[in-house]
Amino acid sequence: MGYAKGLKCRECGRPYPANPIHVCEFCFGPLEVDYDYLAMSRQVSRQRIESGPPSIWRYRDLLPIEGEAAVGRHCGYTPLVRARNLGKALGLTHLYVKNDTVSHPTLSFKDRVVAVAVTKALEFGFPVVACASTGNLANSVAAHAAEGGLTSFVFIPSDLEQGKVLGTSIYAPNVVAVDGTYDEVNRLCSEIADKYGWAFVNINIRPYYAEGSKTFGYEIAEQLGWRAPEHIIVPAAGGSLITKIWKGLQELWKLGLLMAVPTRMHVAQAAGCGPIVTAVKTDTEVIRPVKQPRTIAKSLAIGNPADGYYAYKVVKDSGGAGEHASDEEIVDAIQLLAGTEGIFAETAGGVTVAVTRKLVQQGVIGRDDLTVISVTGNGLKTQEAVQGALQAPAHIKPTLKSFDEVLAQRPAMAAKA
Amino acid sequence: MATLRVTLTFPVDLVRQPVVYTVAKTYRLVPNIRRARVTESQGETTLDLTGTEEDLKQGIEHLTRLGVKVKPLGGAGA
Repeated sequence: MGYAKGLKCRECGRPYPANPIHVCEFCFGPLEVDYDYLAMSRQVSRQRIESGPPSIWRYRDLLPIEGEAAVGRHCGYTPLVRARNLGKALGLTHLYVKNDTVSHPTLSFKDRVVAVAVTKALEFGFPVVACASTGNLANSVAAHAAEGGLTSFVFIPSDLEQGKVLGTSIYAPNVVAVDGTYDEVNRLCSEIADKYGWAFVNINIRPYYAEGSKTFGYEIAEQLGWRAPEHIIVPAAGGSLITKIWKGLQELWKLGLLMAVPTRMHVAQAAGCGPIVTAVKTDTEVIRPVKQPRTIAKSLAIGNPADGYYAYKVVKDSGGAGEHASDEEIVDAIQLLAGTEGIFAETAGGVTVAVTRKLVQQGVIGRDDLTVISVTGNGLKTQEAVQGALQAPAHIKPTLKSFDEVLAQRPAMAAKA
Repeated sequence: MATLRVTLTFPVDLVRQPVVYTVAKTYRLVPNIRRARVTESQGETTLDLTGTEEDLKQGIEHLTRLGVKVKPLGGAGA
């Protein structure tokens, strides 16, 4: 049994039963899960969580499911890496990387939300799960649907990276490539959800789905020894992740598992599609949509973010900041992270690292501040982004002389030897 | 008759014009505003629009032509 009382409108507070609905009928505000925190606090403790499985399900009491996890049993509890080398490069002494490049099963943080959403869809009795996606979500929905024995439909913009399309198709879902932007795909899916009554994880199941992102924040705090960091840098597409990490930290504090939450939440977006960052920098709470997103960070290319306003609010309420990263800065930062920590991140990871560098340079993040960079997806999915930027292999004959020659020609190679 | 739930985002030059009224009148749509946020530089209105399928289609196209961003409710993640 879970502790979710039902749903509640984020705008007007009106309560709703725990059904597959996502919009308040009165003010059209988004619905979110409402918990009985008093009852939860009697049950939840650090010890209870620590004795749970090494996955997101160690936080099951704080998630909106009634029974046991139906899919994604090994999802989450990814490494929090003490990033000394990257810290040195950025000028930070207490830097960590929350590394969801190794999230199971599809190598991005979307596994957290989808494991919760598909479990919930099965609890509701839906025979079909579906999503609109720029890639990572599609991979994850297809994999979890396969595991749960559900039929799945995945709608993607037709210009997606090949790696992400293949990484979805392998699980044998019904993939539909739409000639349009992510926003257009999403608009179509709202209509399909109404007409066919399927479980769209990011539409009618969205209140439950979004709760999975809280586990990213829970894990950071637990892995730091039940402590909230001073800074978390989070990439934003729709803006949900940053709001849920914040909610997760606040919940741990509310339950007495954290002494304080001094965390400043910083939002990172690409220069070619950064409406939330623009709102933060210009201090305006109405998000101005980006009509034609242009960035190599396709997983962040949502021009009209559904949770943009709430993401803006979290940044402002926590005293955080926001920055954009250009395509060149993203590629450079991907290489920096790989070259210093051995972590190959997708383009969104490049965005967060590049933005962290800027925030350090601006003095927003202090040298000795406890800082966590969120890396949310694996670089193997977006290899095209860095392909042209990498040095070609040295080509030699199978002789020692040939190797000596190349070593002499490439001083950088010799320096590493 | 059909009903569409949308959020309209207005660029700065349209904030002071009666865009919703004009479109509703021209295309015989019934607007029911549920929520709005307006600043000095831009505005956002969440509402439902009721009308025939064809009138709704034309009304939305008209809004888009004016530079209003039309977004249906719901949809997150990527």
